[in-house]
Amino acid sequence: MTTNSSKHGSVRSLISLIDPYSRYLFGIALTFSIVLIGLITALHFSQQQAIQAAMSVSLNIPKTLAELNGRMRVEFVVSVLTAVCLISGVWYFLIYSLRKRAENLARAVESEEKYYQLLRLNPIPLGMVDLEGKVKFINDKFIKLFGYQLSDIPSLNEWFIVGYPDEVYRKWVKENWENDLSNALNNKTDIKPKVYTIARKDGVPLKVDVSGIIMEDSILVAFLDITDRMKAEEALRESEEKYRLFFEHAADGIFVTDHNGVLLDVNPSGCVLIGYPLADLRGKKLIDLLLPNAQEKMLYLFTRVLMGQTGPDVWKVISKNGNLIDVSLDMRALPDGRVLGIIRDISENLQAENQIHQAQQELTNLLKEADQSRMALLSMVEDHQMAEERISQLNTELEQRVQDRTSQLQASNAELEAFSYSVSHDLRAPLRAMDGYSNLLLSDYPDRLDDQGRHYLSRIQEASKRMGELIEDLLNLSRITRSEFIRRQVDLSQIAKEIAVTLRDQNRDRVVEFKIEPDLIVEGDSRLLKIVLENLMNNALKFTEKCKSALISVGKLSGGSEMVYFVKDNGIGFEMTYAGKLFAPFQRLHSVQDYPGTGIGLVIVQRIITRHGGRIWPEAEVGKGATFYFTLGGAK
Amino acid sequence: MKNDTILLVEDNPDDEELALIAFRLGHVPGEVVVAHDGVEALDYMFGTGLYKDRDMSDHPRMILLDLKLPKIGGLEVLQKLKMDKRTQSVPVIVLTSSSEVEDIINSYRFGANSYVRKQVEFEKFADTIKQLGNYWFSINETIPE
Repeated sequence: MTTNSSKHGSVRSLISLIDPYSRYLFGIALTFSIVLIGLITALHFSQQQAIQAAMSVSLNIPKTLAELNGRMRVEFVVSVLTAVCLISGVWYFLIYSLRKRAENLARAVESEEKYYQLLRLNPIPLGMVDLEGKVKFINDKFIKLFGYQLSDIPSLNEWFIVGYPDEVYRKWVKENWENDLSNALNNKTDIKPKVYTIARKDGVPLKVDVSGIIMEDSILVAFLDITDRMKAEEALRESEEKYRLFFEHAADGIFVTDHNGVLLDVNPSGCVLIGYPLADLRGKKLIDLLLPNAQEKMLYLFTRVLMGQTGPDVWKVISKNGNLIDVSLDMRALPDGRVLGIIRDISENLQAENQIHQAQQELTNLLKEADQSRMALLSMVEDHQMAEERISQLNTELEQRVQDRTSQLQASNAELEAFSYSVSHDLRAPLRAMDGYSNLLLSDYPDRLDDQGRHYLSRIQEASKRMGELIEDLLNLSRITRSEFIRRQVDLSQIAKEIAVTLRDQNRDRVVEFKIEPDLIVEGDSRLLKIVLENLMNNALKFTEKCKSALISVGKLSGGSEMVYFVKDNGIGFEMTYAGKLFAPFQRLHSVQDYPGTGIGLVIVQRIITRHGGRIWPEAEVGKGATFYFTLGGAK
Repeated sequence: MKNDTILLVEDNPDDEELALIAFRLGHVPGEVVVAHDGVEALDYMFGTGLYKDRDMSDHPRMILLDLKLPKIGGLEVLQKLKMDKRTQSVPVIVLTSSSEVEDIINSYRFGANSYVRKQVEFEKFADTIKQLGNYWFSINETIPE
């Protein structure tokens, strides 16, 4: 600052020194110049002469003048005057330009001074550093704000050390500052404001908004203390937050309206209570939520609220689904003219009261009913007893029915037994008598009978014998049905072998080959299975009677999911068309004369197979033998 | 004590006659006494009713007993005879048309000495009677007096 003042002073004194002469000289020079130009034009004299004249004058003017004639004298004077004019013009020009510059300089110095004045008295704390980092200036506000004098912070380095005592933070600030500065220099812009925490001389940290302006050879830095503002902002934010939290989470409904009662904001509880989403409620008038007959009362109340009167009141609010909700409403005007309201659902309270009332009523009723119940219970016990009796009666009935059914079954079994018994005992006696007496007639009275008579008697004998066989087979069939079924492992091969031995003994006159597959082990009733094989092998033997060499095979088929056993012969076979008749009682495919039999054997076989849960089917061709296949139930 | 009677218990007159013929044809020794039902048979054996004057010590050589009889059935007769010490040693041959297993089982359970089927064919029937006579009179030993 001092350097600038001294410079300013010297320039001014120089100007004041040269100023008067220069004005004077300027007047003379101007006058002479005009006259001279007129004379030169009028006299047409050569520049050469004038110069010569001037030269002679300057050397010895009095002498020269004396030597000159009239015309020459004039020429001489003009030349002298011209020279004077030229010299004074040049002089004046020099002085003038010097003065101009001095004036400019003075103005600049004056403006700089004003500028510094402006900085110093500026209400914003300011500092100025040159590009080398030397602090050139700090203003009063700066000193007042931070407490540092210029001597405390001669350079940026010192400033950083004292202003940012934390090393890490300082480093960060320094980097930021240098970065911002170089950006500003490169782009010829200002240094954008940034908030830093700067330590005051007494150590108190301040929030400071720092910005800068790049000047010719220095940087002007402004320090705006925003500590208080930030605190205020923080406090406001906190308060806002608290309000928001309270608003959002209050169990009661809270709303804000403008001074016309138009809803501006409603908290979630309020929305839930009234049943509308917030978007629907915003812009709605408070009175729109009330029944028409209550709206006027609300307008009146609202006016009172705006005038500062408050007090809770009970209202009925129409919810979105059209229900009326009992609410207590408490409104008060806010300083800015808005109205804050707290709304609470009290329908539950009312309900609770009602419920208590009802409960009391119910209790009374219950006491009354208790007596009735006691009576009812007694009758229920009776009912229960009755029900039990009924159940037991039903059970008895059921048992009775089962018993009835069982005895019916037993009776029918007994009947069958009795029938069979009777057949067994009584049906054969008459046959025996027929045969017996025929026999006696033939043996005792041979001479009284002719051939015809003897023939008749023998026919009677044959018929009775056949009848006896039929009865025998029928009884066998009924026995199969009635007999007990004992399932165990049975060796079919063994049984077949035994039967083969018997059959061979009985038919010694025949050539028969039995081919019995070993280890035909099955599950079944051995006695019944023996009857099956007896029948099938007997048949096989019977129908191979006319073969020269009979072949009877007993075996099983391999493959398939089911075990299939067979008895096969190479006898006369039969037409498959009649296969169905084989298993009907007393059905025969051949004459009794050719092949004796009752036609009951295969019926018995089929019944036994069925009792085992199996199937039986034939395969035959006339003249090529027959095969009877059977299964015995159960998987392989 | 002759011990050569045969008690034939038979209700069917045809069977009775044929049996008697068969005895004759088979030259079976001894007198054949016929009882026509169970009561008669027991009377004979225990000397009651119709036979109350009969000498009880004279047991028949054998009893041919049909099972299906009027009044008292053959099995009951058999049971009573075999349960009484006086009659239990008398051979009882069940002679019946029945081939029912039950009959065979019960007969033996109640102590029958033999079970013989009456054949429908008279020749076979006569042969059976002949063999029975032969066996029980000639081969079988009874308790000595």
